[in-house]
Amino acid sequence: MSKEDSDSQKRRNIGTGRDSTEYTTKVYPFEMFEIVVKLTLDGKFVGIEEVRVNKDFRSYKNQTPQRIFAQVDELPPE
Amino acid sequence: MFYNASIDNKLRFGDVVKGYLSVILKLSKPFGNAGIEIQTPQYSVVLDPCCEIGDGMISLSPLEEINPQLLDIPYLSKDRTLLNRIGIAKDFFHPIMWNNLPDETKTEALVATPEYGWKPYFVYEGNPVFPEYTIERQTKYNEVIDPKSKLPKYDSVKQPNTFKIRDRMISFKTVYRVNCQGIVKPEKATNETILGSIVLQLSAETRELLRLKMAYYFGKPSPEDSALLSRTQT
Repeated sequence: MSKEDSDSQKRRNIGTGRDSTEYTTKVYPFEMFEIVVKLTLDGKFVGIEEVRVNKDFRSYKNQTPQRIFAQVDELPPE
Repeated sequence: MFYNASIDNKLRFGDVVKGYLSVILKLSKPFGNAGIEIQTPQYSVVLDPCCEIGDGMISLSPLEEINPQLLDIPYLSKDRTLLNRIGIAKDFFHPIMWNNLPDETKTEALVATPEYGWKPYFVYEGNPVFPEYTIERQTKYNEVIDPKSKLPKYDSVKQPNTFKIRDRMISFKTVYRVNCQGIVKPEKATNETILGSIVLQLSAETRELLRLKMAYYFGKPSPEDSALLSRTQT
């Protein structure tokens, strides 16, 4: 893309929320957070885009039904 | 509102339908003698997600009468649909089973985080379209506090109790498949015969309850898998 085309593209994107430079993002889990890192296409660090709480905080152990509930579904013989 | 006042012009997840036979294949053992039992459930329930219904095929579960012993459970004796929601473990126990538990387990059942009880089942609220039926129970259970342990227990009283109800229930264990040409994708026009087989349609709120309980039932990891996977989880 020539410089002229590039400038024209940037002008078109003004106010649209689009960024004409192409980046990629990668999410790194860090304790209870997720760090969204912005990288160039060749993998160079550009910046941190977002730090968010990892909402999928339940471990597999937490997701397993509690032992006591396994006993609930039983009926006495009649 | 458990059911919608009107029925959409298409089949939906959780619909009560009639006219769909069920075939159960019985094997004496793997590769052994086989038998086929044909059942004609009065009503069945659609268990395919709304957007997956189609291609001449549908998954159903028979809508059956309530297990009489569930009516012994005081928590469910007035409103069986409480079984569709998460609750305290203690409330889901049959009184006899509860009384037989050691005190330690009773304490665990009182403090455990609420979850689903009777996991494979979902209750359909009684509706005038369902025939009324009678369940006779001979014993009534009243909750009291055990003066010694200070924990709840149930006293039993011989007292005949007659329930006239229309509630029904499905089990996620008895899902069966029917191939029927008229079953089409929701975006296509459903033919009159199929539309005529729909008896009741759940409200969006009830459909969500069914979706959540079914997802929980099929999605829960086994304790063994859970132990293995939690070791590798970051």
